Amino acid sequence: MKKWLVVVVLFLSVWMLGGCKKEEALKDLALDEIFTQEGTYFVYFYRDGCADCEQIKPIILSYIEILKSDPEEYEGKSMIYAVNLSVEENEKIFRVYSNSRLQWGTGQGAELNFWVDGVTEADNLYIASTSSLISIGPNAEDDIIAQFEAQGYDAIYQRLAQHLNLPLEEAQQ
Amino acid sequence: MSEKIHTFKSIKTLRLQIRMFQKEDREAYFDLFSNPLVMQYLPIEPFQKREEARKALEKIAFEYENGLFYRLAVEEIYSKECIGYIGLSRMMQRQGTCEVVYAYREAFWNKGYAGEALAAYVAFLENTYHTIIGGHVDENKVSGYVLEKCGFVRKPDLDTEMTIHGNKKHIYNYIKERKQSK
Repeated sequence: MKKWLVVVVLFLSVWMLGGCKKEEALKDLALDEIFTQEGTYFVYFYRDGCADCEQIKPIILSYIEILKSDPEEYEGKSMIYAVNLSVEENEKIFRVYSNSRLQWGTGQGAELNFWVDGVTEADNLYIASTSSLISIGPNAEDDIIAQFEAQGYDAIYQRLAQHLNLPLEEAQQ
Repeated sequence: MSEKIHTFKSIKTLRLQIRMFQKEDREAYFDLFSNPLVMQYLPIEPFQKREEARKALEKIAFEYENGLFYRLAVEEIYSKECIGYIGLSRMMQRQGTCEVVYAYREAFWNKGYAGEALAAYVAFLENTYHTIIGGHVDENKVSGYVLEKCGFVRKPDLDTEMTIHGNKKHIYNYIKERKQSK
């Protein structure tokens, strides 16, 4: 009986580890890590249970796999990290920027309700929707700043494919 | 003197990779060619045994050794699964003209993969061929949409007939001609 239980536990452990393997490729960042990674990189924002995020997740993982598969060919291409906006500590930046209220200037995104461009600290980001993609990297003055890249499945797909010089065809499901 | 080794440099899209088949694809190949839903549109009988998949992959490997890349695997990069094949018809080989063929495992239908792979493959073929033909049987209308989405144009005068599982089927053909550079 005991032996049987050990076998089952071992099997479950191996199975669970195997299942988690793919997820590990995408590193989740905490808010205070958003601006502290090396080089220029993408940050992908998602939430648990967000249908668009579920749809784009294989694309994000595929992107990482492509970078890893041929480091020489894709040298200098941006790594991608993730931030889960469902996590309590991260929720505060999941908010809508309104120019009429804050009067900082024009926001970004299709509805201009993101505030990302030029931001240098995570606490000042306004991420209005998921899935969405920003990039972080040094500007001409070597300040590490954020830049809005894309929101939604199609736009993120196009942006990542374009970044790797891959065909842009067929983003649709 | 060593023999020349022929290789095919894989073609990538963001989700897929078109690459040479490997021995490890045997299970996926069997899954594809033993599925009656997939096979209803193909002019060969469904595989009954895994051995048939092994032999088919051996034949493909032999072709590769001779520099013939008629059949290539389509891999989902994220899962590393072989999801189907894409390639050229062995029957249609005229100077500057080729015919694309493809099939996908049922589990990977309706994900936009056929169009994504075809678009990338056609872009590659256009370096060699000025005319690319694609076709489908009447029942497989989805394949017609995929061809049109990738820039193929319906060409009824190229339509043919083919016997599939004992039934004569009308094959609807399409062509894509390389744009002349200015």
